Amino acid sequence: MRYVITKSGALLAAVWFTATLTFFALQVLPGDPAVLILGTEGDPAMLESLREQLGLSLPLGQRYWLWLVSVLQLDFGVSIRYSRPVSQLMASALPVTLFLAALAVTTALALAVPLGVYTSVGRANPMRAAIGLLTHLGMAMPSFWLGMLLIQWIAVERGWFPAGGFFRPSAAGWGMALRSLLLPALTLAIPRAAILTRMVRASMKQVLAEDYIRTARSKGVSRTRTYFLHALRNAGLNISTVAAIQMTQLLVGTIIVEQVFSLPGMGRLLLAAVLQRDLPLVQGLVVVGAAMIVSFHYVFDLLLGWLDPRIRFE
Amino acid sequence: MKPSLRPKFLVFLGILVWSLVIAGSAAAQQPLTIAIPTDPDSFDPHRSVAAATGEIAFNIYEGLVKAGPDGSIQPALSSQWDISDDGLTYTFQLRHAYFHDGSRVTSSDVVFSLNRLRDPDISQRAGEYGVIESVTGLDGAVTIQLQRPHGPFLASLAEVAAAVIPEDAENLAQEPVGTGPYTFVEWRPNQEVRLQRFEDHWADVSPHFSVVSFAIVPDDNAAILSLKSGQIDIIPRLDPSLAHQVLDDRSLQVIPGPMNLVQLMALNNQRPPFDDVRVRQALAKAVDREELIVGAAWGHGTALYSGLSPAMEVYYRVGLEAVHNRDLDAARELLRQAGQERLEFTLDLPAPYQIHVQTGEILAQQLAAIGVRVHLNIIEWGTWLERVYNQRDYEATIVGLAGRLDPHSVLIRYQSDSSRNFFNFNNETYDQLIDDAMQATEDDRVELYQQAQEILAHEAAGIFIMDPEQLAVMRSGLQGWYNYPVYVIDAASLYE
Repeated sequence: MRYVITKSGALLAAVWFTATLTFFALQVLPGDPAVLILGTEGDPAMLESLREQLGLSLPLGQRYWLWLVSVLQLDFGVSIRYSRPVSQLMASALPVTLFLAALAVTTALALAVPLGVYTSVGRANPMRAAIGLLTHLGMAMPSFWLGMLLIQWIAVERGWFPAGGFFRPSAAGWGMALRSLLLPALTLAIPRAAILTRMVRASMKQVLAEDYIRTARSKGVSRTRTYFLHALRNAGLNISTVAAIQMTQLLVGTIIVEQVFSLPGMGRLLLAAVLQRDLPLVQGLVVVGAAMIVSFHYVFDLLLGWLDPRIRFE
Repeated sequence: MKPSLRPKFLVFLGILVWSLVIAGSAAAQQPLTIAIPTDPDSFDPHRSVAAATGEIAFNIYEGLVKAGPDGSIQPALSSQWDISDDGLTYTFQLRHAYFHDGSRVTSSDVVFSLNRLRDPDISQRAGEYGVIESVTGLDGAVTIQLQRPHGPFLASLAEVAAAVIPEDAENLAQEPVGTGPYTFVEWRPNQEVRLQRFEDHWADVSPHFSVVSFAIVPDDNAAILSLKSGQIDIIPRLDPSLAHQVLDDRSLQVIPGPMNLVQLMALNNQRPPFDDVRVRQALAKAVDREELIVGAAWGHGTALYSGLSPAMEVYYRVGLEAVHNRDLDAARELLRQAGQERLEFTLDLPAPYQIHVQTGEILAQQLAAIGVRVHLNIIEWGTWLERVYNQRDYEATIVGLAGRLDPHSVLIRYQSDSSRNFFNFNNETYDQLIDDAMQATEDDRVELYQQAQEILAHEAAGIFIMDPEQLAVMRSGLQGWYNYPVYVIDAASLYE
């Protein structure tokens, strides 16, 4: 119980720290929303009146305080770029990103576990060598390029998937929504799968060298049972730790992938918000994003302790 | 022993799952879809300033007059108008027209709209309409009184900002109510803005497409792929460097037109050595515009020699290319006279604009031929706006300045006390010409603006480079597309 309280405190502190850092980092960047909105048509008088309207003319400390108070009341304010509530923008973007991330993780694991296990057992053969080579390739490919290739080959030339955009389940049905997310999910999944495959392979190799595996085999336990029940379960701890870290990086990866596939998710919102110095929106996204990542790791830590009683928290 | 792990089985399983997904539903009936790169900011015509809003809002809102495809002023909510001889009183007869909410357009709506437009507490554009003295409405007509004659006034009423809105309108930012050929349906950020044909529009011919969707596609390459897959129908402004991807595709057509943009290398006229006209002229003589057009715009552009694009047909001064013929010897001689044989300067290039960055890279090579060393400094757009444009803290930069319906808004930038004169150009004769043109008759304005362009060319206020072509790409079969000389998309004229 004590553990849960201190951990929750640390969680809140981490979110506050990240958001405050972002607040001041955006102040340091040259150009404010008024400058960006007016562009090359602006003049000092227009800038002044727009800054007034956007509440940018208040002193920095006061703006920070106002912001902090409203966030504590779960009010993220109104986006400057989109002139609508930040919470409304996030509410429509969050499901897309979560759906995409979940699909990407599932795909990555579905690719990595069988491939990793396959390459870790038995002798070297051309198939295993090819998989090893492909994992290198998968890790090296930039995702915007991979995304473009997939769009060209699968969406444009074959027409199996839409080339971009998101189809809302409520309007186009779940099948269409899933189809519009599969290519981006694959784009996100391939580099992750490449890393995970190597991880699975390394962990499996390590476990397979253990004495109890030899004992199990000599007792007459079948190969499949040994690999999947005994070895994979013990390698699983390492694998899930790496997978959890990958999950965090995945949220970062969505920024590029959502741009390439024109998906209305959190990553794209964040990029637009930063480029336009849309402070309320950036702040909202950072608070929610940080809270999501921190609490994900928190839950994951608890889960690990439950999965493996050897891990104990003080 | 038979191996119990079967990789082939897993591969088959994977293929099976994927093909189940692929064999989904057939594509439903699609609206006419136009790809635009960014979201609008606000649909309140008096508060919005983003170009992306204007191009959509053109279909939703109308003013008393509107822009025609050739840049002319066309009747809109006013069927005819009258300008008094002293140029101070404008009288507009209103048409029998309806708002999208079904109410009649009255003269009090027009008075309300124009007063709101020039209210500095509400409107971003109040300053531009400060010349209005009063607006009065009387059954079916509106009279606008000006403080002083103002040549560009009628053109300024054709801007989207001068839209007529209903007097009781609320929340226009998200639920616009106008009188245009299309009504607003919904705006989903980062996805689309959807419009529907307005059946009670005053025009005799109603638009061909009943539903128009502006899809927000941030990446140009992705937009091309979506166009090729049939998911979108039109890319209104394709980056010329990507044109080769569509020019040989027979299912697509490319419609080029002038963009009415002035791309130039702006020089900080106040900062040495650019305060010396000989240095500026030397650079003007060293530039090879054809090479820049081929290198940075893939040949899709028109060379410029002064501050106005040939898209402004009537006002454009022809024949200025001879003012500073390309002559490297003369350029070197001018630098020698100015004592700047070892000229070095920093050229700031705005990162998001590939065409300006590439122009800068090639230009640096061209200037090396006369012994000038150019340091390229690529900066982010926000930084560019703050430091280069607003603080005027720079030596040289490359940028494109968007044209308007009237040359005044473009040429006033070079007036010495203009707040938008980030070139710090200072020429008394020029200042006088622009002041005179504001009060002059239409014929005299043409003459005065032509003289103004001559000064900009002779003085080499900046190194004028090109007006890049606007490349509209769409599926073949679509007809009625117009490349306007202002930043709008006219969906109502399209048909197939």
